[in-house]
Amino acid sequence: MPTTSSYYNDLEHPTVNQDGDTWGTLTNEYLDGLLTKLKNLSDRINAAGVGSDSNLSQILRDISQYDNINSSIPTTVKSLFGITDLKAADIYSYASAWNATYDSYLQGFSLVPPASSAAVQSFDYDLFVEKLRPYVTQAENAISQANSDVAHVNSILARLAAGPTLQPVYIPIIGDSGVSGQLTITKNANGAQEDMSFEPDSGDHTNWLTATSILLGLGQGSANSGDATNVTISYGSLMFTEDGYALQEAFSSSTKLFTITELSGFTVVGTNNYSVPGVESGALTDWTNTSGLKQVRFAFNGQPNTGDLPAGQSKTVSASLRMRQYSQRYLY
Amino acid sequence: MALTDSPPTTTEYSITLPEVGKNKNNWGVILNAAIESAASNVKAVDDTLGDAADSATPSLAYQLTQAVTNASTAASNSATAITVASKLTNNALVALTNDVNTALTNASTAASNASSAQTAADAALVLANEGYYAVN
Repeated sequence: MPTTSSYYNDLEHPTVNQDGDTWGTLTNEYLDGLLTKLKNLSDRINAAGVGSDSNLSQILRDISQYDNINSSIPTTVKSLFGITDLKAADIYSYASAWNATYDSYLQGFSLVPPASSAAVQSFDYDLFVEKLRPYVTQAENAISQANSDVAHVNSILARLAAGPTLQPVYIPIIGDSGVSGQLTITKNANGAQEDMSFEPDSGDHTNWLTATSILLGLGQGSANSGDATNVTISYGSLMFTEDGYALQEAFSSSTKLFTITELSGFTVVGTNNYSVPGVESGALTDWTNTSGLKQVRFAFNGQPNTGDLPAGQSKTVSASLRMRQYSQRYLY
Repeated sequence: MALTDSPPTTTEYSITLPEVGKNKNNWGVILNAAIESAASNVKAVDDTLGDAADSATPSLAYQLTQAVTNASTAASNSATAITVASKLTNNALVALTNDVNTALTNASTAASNASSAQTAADAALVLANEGYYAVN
């Protein structure tokens, strides 16, 4: 009767003083079975740890990658947020408390800093940006305003550095309250050209022209008072149609040129008011209308902003005219 | 290669064994050679595994032990790294809001200073122009 191996129950070796006829076969089978197990063990060891494809090599590669990730996470996060003042002894010794609140200026921020690893991973960064954006916008607006003011200061400094130059000056007439009326802006059917007409309020017009003549030191003149159509504004110019003497008294003096510097009540493209280059005083006698009245024309630099005014339609707004004395001075 | 061959050989390693009913005068020699050959193969496997303390080679047994240690360390470091990164993120978010506040304060101060400078420059220009500039 063969004896079962103490270590492998599928192996049998001959029993001493027995198996006289089978001991050779038993011994051969025992050796064969044992070597088969040895080969199997060798194969498993090789698979576990020998060669670049072994499990051990794969584990070592994984550990190496793990180490790389571990090393790079703190530095990557530092880089991501631009943290430059972190001076830890090594990458794993960073010691810092969790921040539980944001700065007090963020009252009503309705967000708290993520105070755990899980909270960081689930943190709503888009919402954070959305909440913070108004403050950034506020700073941007302040900076923009500062830039604008600084640019203005710089322009003044440049003018002071460049020295005075001859510039037009429009001197207000003391006590002149202007003339109020209705400004009508018309866009032609083709939509490409705008006409303007100004209809002064009757009383205002008379008083204004008379007062202007007095203020200019020209006497009351003989304005054609009461005619609300005497002042017209056509495309690109303002026309006074009056008795020739009155116009000459008011506008044609070569030493006292007067012009219009305000036409309020509507917006002009590029500027809030018309910029008036001067008076075409020499053209006074050229513009005599069919009624025998004289006209003086003021040229304008701007055009009315008709905005969304449809072609072929008009828009009437309240407006006022004010006169300024035109002169030239050396100014910075 | 099988036990049923003549002479019989082992399934693995092809070691020749005595043949039952034959090798009357030399079965002992054949058997001893087979046992020695088996021992040689055992030794080869033993050498492959090596001594767990052999860090110089290093042995496979040593590498396996180290791998376990290294994996444990990496896992621990990973948890620390996540915490560190999370704290950095936490700190960075707060620092970012503080920076925004500082920028906002500085921008407001700059705007105020610029406005004052503009007012002063306007006044200086008026003085330089001897009052002719004031047309409004």
